[in-house]
Amino acid sequence: MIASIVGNYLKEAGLITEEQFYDLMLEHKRVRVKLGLIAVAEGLMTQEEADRVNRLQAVMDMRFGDIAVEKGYLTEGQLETLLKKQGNAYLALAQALENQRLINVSQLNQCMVDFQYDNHFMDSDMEILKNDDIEQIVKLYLPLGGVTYQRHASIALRTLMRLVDNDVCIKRPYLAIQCEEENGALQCVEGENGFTCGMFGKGAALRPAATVFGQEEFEAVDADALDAIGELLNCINGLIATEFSYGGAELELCPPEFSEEMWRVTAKEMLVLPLILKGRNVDLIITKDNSIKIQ
Amino acid sequence: MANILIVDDSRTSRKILRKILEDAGHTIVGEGVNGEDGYLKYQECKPDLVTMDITMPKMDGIEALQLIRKFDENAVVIMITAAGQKEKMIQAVKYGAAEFIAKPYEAGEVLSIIEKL
Repeated sequence: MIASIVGNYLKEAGLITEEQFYDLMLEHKRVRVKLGLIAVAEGLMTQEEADRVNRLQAVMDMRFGDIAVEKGYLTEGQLETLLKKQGNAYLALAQALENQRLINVSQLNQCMVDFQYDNHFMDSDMEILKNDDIEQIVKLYLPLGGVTYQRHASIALRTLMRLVDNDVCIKRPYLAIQCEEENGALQCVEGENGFTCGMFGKGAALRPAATVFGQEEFEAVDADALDAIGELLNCINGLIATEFSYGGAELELCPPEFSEEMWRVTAKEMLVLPLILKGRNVDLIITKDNSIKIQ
Repeated sequence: MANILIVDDSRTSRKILRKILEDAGHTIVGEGVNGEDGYLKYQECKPDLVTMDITMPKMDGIEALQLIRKFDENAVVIMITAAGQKEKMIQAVKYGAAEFIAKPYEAGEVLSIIEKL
């Protein structure tokens, strides 16, 4: 995620264009090879095992390496070696920026100083970002609202990265009791520790995400596109419910709801987490109960 | 190859599953948009196999499973679940569900489960 966070910062600062941003993300992926590919290339896993782990990742909220170890395909030691070979995501970004002849390392360092200042981050926060651990990055961006929001947001982000956009970018969230949203879907999950999770976007903002998840080119954010977003939420919320079920909680997923109109969303408290998803600004809304109301 | 009835309230979900199944040579004999519709379509289509989403409005997949199995005790019903539906899965087993497929769909997983039946 560090690549998309810094890449989007450079784009918003006018240092790179949107097209250069997309090329940069592609180059970053090329420079930083996927763990599964390295494992197969090193002969530590077969292609079938890697494919199986990739499939499991879609229904389990776990990293590739952790699943591979759990399934006995890799040892902890082998995973550590592979992670070292894969390298640091931030350094891969620096390399990708150089390869694309966008900015050099010293210019990147200056940008990171500006980024730190703009975001009021401490030096230790910048280290967390550069380590590229989603869970830790979420904690950094969500100091408010406690661990429940952090846990929900971590699962949501990891699922979005797997199913929709590996380059999703997190922005500063805020707590609200009401907000006005346009075009979106939400799903209530009832029971002990019940919660609601929704996704909204202005105009056609949700169209690219709906297109990827729904495997269909939508011309507009219509009922069919929002149905796809509802199904995406169903996958996210199912994984959150699984996490809670380990603690013995019984939760029931309700059918997702969606609307193409303006929503006035109210709740006792909701976390509004702005994201850049497939290059569009969207809001992920999470409540820690089912107090959410829509008008 | 099997004649299959897909029951799911989500158009996206029905469409993706239909494509996976048709590409593998199966025939989709009908689609139901909720549990009640699925039960009615089952009586009309008499499919070899049903894929039944658990979470649906009006009538959920568990209720529809019970009705279908009451109508035809040999009905083969595969339940479609999101993760985190442990309680519902236990109920589904009790009412005779043949198998489970998790969302999001992964073609290889879907087809291997169907071929097993």
